Amino acid sequence: MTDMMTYPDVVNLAVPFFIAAILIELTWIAVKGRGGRYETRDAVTSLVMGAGSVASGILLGFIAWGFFMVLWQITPLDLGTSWWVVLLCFVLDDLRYYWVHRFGHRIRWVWASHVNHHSSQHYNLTTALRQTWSGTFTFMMVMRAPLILLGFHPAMVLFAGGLNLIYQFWIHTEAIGKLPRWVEAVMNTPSHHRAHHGRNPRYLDCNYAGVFIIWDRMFGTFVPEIESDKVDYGLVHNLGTFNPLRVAFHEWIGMLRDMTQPGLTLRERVKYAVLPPGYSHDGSRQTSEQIKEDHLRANPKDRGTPGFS
Amino acid sequence: MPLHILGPMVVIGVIGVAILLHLMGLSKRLRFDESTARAAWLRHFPDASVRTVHVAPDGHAALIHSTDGPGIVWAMGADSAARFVQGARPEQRPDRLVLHFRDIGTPTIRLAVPAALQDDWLKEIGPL
Ligand SMILES: [Zn+2]
Ligand SMILES: [Zn+2]
Repeated sequence: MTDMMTYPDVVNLAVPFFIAAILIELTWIAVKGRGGRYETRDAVTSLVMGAGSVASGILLGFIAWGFFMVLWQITPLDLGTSWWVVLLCFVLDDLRYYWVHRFGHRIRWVWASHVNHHSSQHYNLTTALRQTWSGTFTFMMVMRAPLILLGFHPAMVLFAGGLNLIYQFWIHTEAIGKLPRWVEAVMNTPSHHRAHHGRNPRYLDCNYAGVFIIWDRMFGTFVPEIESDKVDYGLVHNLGTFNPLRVAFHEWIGMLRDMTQPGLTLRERVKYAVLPPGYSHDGSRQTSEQIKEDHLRANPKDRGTPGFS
Repeated sequence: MPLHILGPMVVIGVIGVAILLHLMGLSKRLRFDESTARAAWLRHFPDASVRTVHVAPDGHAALIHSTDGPGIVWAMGADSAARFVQGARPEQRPDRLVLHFRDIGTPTIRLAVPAALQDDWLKEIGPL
């Protein structure tokens, strides 16, 4: 395979489709009077975050691309471009996505980038576009290294990642209930991903899947959406701003302030970056485990139900 | 897709959706009464029981005295946000009381409290 190989930049090509789908969802909600909520400033913030994310990809994408091309020079393996290689690449890249996303919720350094995707209290198709501007600084591109070293061309790996992102667009909706059993068993669906966006104690740190929900079932992070525990979208501590710059960078700045406050040991400073969100050296904050424990103390009947293992 | 097409499409798309949503009446801010303010507070801080609720004159915010200290719950578009007020720097403007925080995610809370009532509010909030 040569470096001449090109795959379309699928995410950019999908923009007209995104806009059309948003208008369709909005019409559906207006006509039916159910199936989701829109609010002007929330939606505009989401759309601007999406545009900024594409812009940051155009500006900073060369860093990851350069890294991938170095790996491609090093590796002696080349799997070529047959259809089954592309398919395999897509499935393995989805496994890659699962772990990047899991780290995104369990390592504050990565959460600082991912948090903005969860910063809306709404859940509609615009929420899907609320994507990070600072992914490059998480260094999570290393998670793609194994794929490239195995002989999947970097362009193919990025193509697979783009398709993965596009798949995740349509699941950000309340207009679609539960799908047939086999779909819910194998695929990430609106229902599964609604749970992922929940700030309810039950739904914290679940359903990291991109396309295939099987990874969550395999690695023990699956929690079904439960009718009696309606998903409350957003962050444990919801933001008091719609300013896209603040939404994009608030957690980075918060983390750096925590790390650089006076009187900490080096160990504590590092912990603020690598432990889960909610860690504090003085116990003044709560991690998701502590939030779940508190909830169970107040609601003992929930013990042993999904999300409270 | 070439940038000279993608760029304008995104700009027009965002502005178009914004205008459409606004015309559909979806820019309305949440309003509280005493019981919805209480419920909104507990949604954010389930462990901090509510003692008293003071709804702001315009209904878009409320001062909460909770078992964990005083805080504000206020409208964020159609939804709400809440936080404790410790560490806030108050600023009195003719038509509103502004609380500033050293917090990138919540830099300010604007309370539509007229000048005549601001001292009462600040007294009610207590030491910051
Ligand atoms: Zn997430
Ligand atoms: Zn999502």
